[in-house]
Amino acid sequence: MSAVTNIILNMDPVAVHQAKLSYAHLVHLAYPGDPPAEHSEIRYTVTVSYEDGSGERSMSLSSHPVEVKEGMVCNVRKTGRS
Amino acid sequence: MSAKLAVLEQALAPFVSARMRVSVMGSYLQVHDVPFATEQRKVSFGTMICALVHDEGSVTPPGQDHQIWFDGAYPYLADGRSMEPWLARVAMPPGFQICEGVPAQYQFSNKPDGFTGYATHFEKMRHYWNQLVGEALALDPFLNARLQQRMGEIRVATQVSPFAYPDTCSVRGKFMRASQRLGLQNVAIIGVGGTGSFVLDQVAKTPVHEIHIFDSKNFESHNAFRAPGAASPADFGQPKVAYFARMYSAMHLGIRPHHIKIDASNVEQLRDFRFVFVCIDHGPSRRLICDFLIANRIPFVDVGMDLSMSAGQEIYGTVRTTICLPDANDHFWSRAPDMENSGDGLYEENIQVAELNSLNAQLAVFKWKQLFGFYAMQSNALQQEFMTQTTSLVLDDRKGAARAP
Repeated sequence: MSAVTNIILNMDPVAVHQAKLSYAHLVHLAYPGDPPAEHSEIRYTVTVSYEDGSGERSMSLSSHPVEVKEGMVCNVRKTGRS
Repeated sequence: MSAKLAVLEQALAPFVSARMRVSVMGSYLQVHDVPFATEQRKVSFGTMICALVHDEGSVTPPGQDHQIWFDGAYPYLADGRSMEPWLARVAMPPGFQICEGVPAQYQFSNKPDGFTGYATHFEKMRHYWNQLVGEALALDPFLNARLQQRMGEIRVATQVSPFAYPDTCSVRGKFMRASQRLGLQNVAIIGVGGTGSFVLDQVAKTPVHEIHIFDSKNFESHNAFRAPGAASPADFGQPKVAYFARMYSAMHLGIRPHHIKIDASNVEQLRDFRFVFVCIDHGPSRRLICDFLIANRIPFVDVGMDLSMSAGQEIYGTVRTTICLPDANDHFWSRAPDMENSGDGLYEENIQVAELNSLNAQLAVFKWKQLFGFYAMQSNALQQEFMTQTTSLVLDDRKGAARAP
């Protein structure tokens, strides 16, 4: 059984078992009712900030999975409003 | 004769009386054919330049501004000694132009004894003229006679300015050249809601000749809380484009309102824009507009945000700014949402997030100014995401420092 890491996803605490998370993984965790990201017409803006000072990431469908770290802050949003 | 020309002719009459040849390029005054002594003890001729702030009614005196530029070699005394330290100099970079068509090699600084300010540009330029020409006269016994036979003249290059009054800010700040790079023929702002209105607020302060704004909705009280400036109740109920066009026409003469929603029947209107700011809410419209811009190789920026309320009743979310260039567009549809439902309904409830609208607009306008050479660019991230709860600006889709065409 792999260790649990606590992350913040759209301001909610989420416990994850994976060592890395892909764009599609994060989309599924944030919007479990949405279709799988690989086959979806929905475009999400996925932003990750590591709170240990190791920087930030922006992700799109083709991005490599990112490392999971304790306390990382993730936003998965549909940024279409202005 | 225009009022402006009459004002200039009056202010510059002393130059003509002194048989000097001057020209006005926008907000700069050039004194041509100024004789000076070279290091080789020969007479050469250069051009003295200074800022000339003026409008229809008056020319602003130079006051404490005692510096000039010089286009020519550095002047020497007639005996071959350098004019330093009397004439302090700063060498300009090779090819430097103060503004388009006004080159300069040096900036000079010298004040007369007991200097308290110059009342006229003639007084200021004559101070430098007397020193430079005095040395040249000592080298050429016939120079004085030739100068006395000259006819003084004034030439005024009429520049088309989109502003309702002179851009004294760029002249005083000595960044006219950088500012001129934004003098595009036109730009379009599609959607003047929360974010688009702040884009207009910034773009109206640049020398873009025409700013076309497109929006089909009316300006209502809730819009006032997401717009620059302070609207009064009398402003409500009119088209947004009419309200903003009137407000910004006080400053910029090229605002062109279009009270329409861009759809398949009229998207063709966007064909000839040099840059487009896409500031809309509707995903399918974003698809239509941006596909058209990509197909027609028009550079643009698309903005959008998505905000929600946390369990603790605090607002959070992401503000996205995506740039798309003719030769860098592969990333665009992996970033920009084109679905009908493109964000949490919270935004529709007219939450007051003017600073996020403004931030989104400023990031878009900053990138536009950078792409067109106003700001230096060492890295070109086409995707910018601002995450509110960590105050992070996250960059991606770096494409080298390719500028817009």
